[in-house]
Amino acid sequence: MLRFRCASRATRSSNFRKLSGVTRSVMSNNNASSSSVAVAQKAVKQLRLEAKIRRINVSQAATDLKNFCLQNAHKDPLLLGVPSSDNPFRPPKSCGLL
Amino acid sequence: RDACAEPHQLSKGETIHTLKTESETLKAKLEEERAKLHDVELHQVAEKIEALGQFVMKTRRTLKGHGNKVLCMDWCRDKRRIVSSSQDGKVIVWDAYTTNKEHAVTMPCTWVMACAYAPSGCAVACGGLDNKCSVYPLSLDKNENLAAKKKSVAMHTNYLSSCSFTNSDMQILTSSGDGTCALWDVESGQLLQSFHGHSADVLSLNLAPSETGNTFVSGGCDKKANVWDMRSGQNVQSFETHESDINCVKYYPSGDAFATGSDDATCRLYDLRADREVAIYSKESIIFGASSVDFSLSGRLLFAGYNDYTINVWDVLKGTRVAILFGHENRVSTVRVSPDGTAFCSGSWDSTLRIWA
Repeated sequence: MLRFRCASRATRSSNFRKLSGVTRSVMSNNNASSSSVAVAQKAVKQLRLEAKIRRINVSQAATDLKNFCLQNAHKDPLLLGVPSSDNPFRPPKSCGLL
Repeated sequence: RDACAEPHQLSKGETIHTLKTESETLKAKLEEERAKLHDVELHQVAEKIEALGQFVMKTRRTLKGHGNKVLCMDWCRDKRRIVSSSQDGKVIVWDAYTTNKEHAVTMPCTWVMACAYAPSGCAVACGGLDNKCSVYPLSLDKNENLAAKKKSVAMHTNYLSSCSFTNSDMQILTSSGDGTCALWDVESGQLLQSFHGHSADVLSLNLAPSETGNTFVSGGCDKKANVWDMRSGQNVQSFETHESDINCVKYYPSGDAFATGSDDATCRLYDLRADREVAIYSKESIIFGASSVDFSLSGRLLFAGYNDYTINVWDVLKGTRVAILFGHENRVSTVRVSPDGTAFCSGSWDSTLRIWA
């Protein structure tokens, strides 16, 4: 969703997005066939790069995510709900001021 | 630097047709490789963990002062100050403990969609429909006109959607409706690196936690989340499983994963080392877009603000919702956990900010 389009109901995101698209393609080569070749070449180059990434199993990745959570749980005030005295935003139980 | 300036030559035997075929083949291969490693679901690995108990999270402070929709906010590293920006062009710095306004500046444009606090706490950056990102040094003198010292840093060809200082006050990363992200030197305004790869507006970016090196993630209207190498400008990983615009991206605290919030009413978790989506946070009853997400310090909780005015709190590992927070009277546009994790702040189109703990 474009935040801008909510400014006026008349401005639909598809229009604004098309405008954005037009702005960007003006920046690239003006020759239409040349620019679609460029886009295709870039896409292939990018995909070749991504194909080379070394990946691990989800089981390994998930285990590491889980372990990180568990190891840091004791340091997570929103998870534990620290006592009011330790949380500057929670009102203290008794007012210290006279 | 601009590849578009060179004439595009086809290699021998290459046609637009062969390139497109190769593209499709490579994409299919990529999915195949990713699928081979998909041996388990995250929530299955988390089955044996104790379920989270009842959450008591309430609004502890309400920050009132914006005249219009709050679009963005950021915490200062001092864990108590906050900068927020709104549709009417106002940028306000607050003390969240006392709810006092410390500074206010009126931007020359409306829809200030992005704001960020400098690591030193001595400046804020903001921008929006002016297509720029400007830095305002914060003066200790309350009477001083902040606008006088304004420095224009970034220039895009469309609206600024998000901005973030890197590890120092010296560099800013921006994302824009022009489909690019860019890294800028604050002092000189020089463009240091640009990041091309999205095919539509980029709506959000987030820097990896500093221990994990020089990368950042971006998400946009092309439904893609891209991970970038800041030094080379290279798009190193790309994820396309959302069914609509990605409004927000946020790294998991270890730096090994990131979460997204999307107009498709889901939030998702992507693991960088498995190179795939590993969790979806959704419910049939949630039909409005998620505008903003952030993790608690341990990464166990994901706070997500939605266009149905609520904030949902998710158990990241088990994939279940643990709380719904009501209070805002319009869309929640931004959600951020404080630097020490003791609270989180939400900003809304109802023109207020709330601190929850």
